[in-house]
Amino acid sequence: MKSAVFLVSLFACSAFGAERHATNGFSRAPYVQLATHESIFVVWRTERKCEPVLRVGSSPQKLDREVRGADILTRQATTNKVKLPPGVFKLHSAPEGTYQYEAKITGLRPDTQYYYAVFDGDKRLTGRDPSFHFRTHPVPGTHRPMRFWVVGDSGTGREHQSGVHSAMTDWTKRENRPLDFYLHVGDMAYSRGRDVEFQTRFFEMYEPTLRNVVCWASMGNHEGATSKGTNGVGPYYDAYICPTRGEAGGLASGLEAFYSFDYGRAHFICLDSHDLDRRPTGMMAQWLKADLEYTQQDWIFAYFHHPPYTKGSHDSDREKQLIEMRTHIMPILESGGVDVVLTGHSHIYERSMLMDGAYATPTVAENVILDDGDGDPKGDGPYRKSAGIHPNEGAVQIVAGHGGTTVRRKGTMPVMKKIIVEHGSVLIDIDGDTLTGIMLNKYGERRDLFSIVKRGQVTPARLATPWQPPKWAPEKKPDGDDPGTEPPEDFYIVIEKHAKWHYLAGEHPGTNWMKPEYSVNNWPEGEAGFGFGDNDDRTVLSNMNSNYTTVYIRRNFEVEQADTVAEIGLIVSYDDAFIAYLNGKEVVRTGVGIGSGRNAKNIKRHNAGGRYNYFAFKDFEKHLRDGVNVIAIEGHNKDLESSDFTLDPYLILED
Amino acid sequence: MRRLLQKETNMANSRSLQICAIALFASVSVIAHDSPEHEIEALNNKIAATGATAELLARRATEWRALGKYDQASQDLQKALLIKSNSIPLILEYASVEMERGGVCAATGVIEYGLTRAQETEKAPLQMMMAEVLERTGVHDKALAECEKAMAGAEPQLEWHLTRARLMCRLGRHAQAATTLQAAYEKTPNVVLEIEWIEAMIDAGQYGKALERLVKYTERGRWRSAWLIRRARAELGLNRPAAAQAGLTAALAELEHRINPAKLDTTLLADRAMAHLLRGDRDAAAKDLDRIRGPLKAHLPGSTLARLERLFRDSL
Repeated sequence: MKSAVFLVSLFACSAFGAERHATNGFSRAPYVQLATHESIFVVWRTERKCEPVLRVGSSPQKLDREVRGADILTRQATTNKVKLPPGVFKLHSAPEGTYQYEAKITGLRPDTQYYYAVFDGDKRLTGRDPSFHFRTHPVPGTHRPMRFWVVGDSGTGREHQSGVHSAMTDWTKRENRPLDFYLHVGDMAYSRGRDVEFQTRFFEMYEPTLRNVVCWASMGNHEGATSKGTNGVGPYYDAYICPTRGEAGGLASGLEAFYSFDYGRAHFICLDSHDLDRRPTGMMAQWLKADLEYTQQDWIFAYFHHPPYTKGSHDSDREKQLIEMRTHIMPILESGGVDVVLTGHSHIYERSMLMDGAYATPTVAENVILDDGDGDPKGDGPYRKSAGIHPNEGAVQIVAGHGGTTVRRKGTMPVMKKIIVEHGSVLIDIDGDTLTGIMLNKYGERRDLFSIVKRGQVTPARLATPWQPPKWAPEKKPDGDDPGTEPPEDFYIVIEKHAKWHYLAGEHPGTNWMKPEYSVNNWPEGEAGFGFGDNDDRTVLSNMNSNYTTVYIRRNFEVEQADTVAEIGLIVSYDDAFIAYLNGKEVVRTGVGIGSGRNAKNIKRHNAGGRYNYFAFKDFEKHLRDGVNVIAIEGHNKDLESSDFTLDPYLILED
Repeated sequence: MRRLLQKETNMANSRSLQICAIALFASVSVIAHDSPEHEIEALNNKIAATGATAELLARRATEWRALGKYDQASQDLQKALLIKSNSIPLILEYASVEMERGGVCAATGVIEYGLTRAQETEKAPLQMMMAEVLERTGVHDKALAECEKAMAGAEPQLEWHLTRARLMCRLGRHAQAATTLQAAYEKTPNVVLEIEWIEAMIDAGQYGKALERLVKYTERGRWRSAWLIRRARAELGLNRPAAAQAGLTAALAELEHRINPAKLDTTLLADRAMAHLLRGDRDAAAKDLDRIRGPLKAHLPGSTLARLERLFRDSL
């Protein structure tokens, strides 16, 4: 797809992850997939054909095992018209000419750390540092402490996502206890799960982690826009290698959309809650029942995208996929003895009490809570279940849709013990009969802790009137002062901050000044922001105070394909008011009561205060055109005596 | 690379700016990634501004569907089809919405319309949907014919093999079902295909082969009742009642432990009905079957219920 943005001015930056990924000819840096106790895949991409070689060994200096050439599965991105050479498979969604190499190394020792390097023939592509390493799984059924990370709804490529990731890496470093693997509960590549979005919003963001530990993924609805579970085609399925034959533990599913794997004494089940039949009569549910019956591990985790219980940005009492996961899938999971259910989709952290049998709509807490404590060993005590796996002894539900995108809350789900509207992720440790889960926010603070102990024989009892979280009402937006909305998840900057604009100050232009045909060649140019009096201006209007109240600014920008633009708007710091025009049509008005230009009236006071607000353009679809467009803004001060003025905009769009 | 640079710019700006007000007042979203209601609101605005396109209407229909509002979804899809009348994905979506709200006749009409518009290579999913409609109305032979056409015309999805086998079994063609399921399983291993293959073998009287196939599941696995019941069926077929009874006793003990009377798992109830039936306890089986035939019916694969009903009838 062509980008909507044709002309984008750039300025210096130090983007997270940018230096790491594109080095040494990789278009996607090496990452590990589908680990078992005796094998693993290393996957990487290049922009041109190479002679792929993977070397593996027990130390960085002794890479004495090798896979090369035809033993490495090669995929190539190409048009349908080009016939692929024998032995080369189709890479469905990557830029044409991209090669993906999937090297499986077998015969490894269980629970052992190995180092690896990727070569193009004799040329080493990965660095010589020892950071390229992985650890094989323990033999299924082996008692071994384990740690895994859970993150969801992260794929924005923005600072919340990187903050959440850094918080986890800092925490594990501080504890000197690395991850054994990682679960992603979906929505990892906003907004449509396209290949480029996977690259920039997933692989580059998590690259240092992905090179060492396997991300076992479940598909979110945003990946579902471009990938299909029924046939396993799309960028999501290009990116992941999932077990379809029961090769990592569990039973064969035949599809990468749902699968299971073992780690030590724990069994993990991934489901596709997005685009497969969720009914108990469907193949996925039948597979789930068989898989649950077959596993002999002591812990069972299920993970998928759509939460059975939530009142975050989504409502599980109203939405079909969420209701179906609760009414159709949860009974199978709970009669199969599931311990923890991990989901996302709803942009919030919610963690339940120990619960069972809450299949009704709407969800109520009465008679479905088995332990209404907080699960904290230092608080109300851990949740207790019998040793091993037993049906309907209770599960903890965790909604971890707070990994990067904007967090939100709609209400109160009565089965939840913790409801936290912050960005973060979940770390789970298992040591013998004890599970400990924590929620880390993006600042590295532990915001929740619960524990499950499976020991002896426990007889669960349902609580008729369990504790319930307090009712919640949305905060009321204060009147007046700060209008605006939230910017898109994934935007491109069309006119950057501090760009040069034509401006007119101290006089009024003709009435058609905002129209494209109006010439502003005789207006001076200045860098945004424009203003005086508050030390935040680049173009200082030193004579404005007491002399005039209105400033006009204009600038051209180009859009290649207007019909691909989902949203366009201004991020602006302003004092006191402004009206914005797109190609001569008013698209934003804030703080100006009536009229415009010299006739503007009822100006409301607004203090910029160093803040930037976002204003989406209304009806932009009618006015935005392919090629050159004109943005014009008139800024107003409330009166001549105002002590300051600010107009500091930049323009963004989402395609 | 251009994308990457744009993203870098984006991130750098995100870090360097303090959009405090935005964070504080993030109560209104004007973009995707939110609840269906928000999505519908945004799509309403977009449609009002730009006029309706097939894509926008289809997106809104998806959101209506997520809220279980099938009438609105259906209306949007109808409108979308007026704009893009040859779109097979739209036709499939429209037909499945009609199916979901129980409009079998309407679904049939939509599928027939689609079949007149589709290229040969596009017909398979429509034919499979037609098979599903026909199966629902009990016309199994025609359903199977549609299914066969679809599977000949395109690479079958895994579920299609199950549908075909189920229809074959409904028509008493158990051996044929076993053969096709075996072929499907050998091409793409999947335990659900394997289970149905084993069941079809037992139904076809291929008891020895079925026993060989299922033994690994009765020897390993935490909960084995379903497999013990299948084994008992095969053993009864081989006239080994004692072995069968031992397995059934163990299966029933396990099921009593697993069935939660307050929150019934229908598949476990069906397993118990089958175990009772094979033990000759027709009354106990009838009790479970009666419960399954009620509202729980929708929670049981059609092939399982059909098999139970058939064996129940045969036990008279």
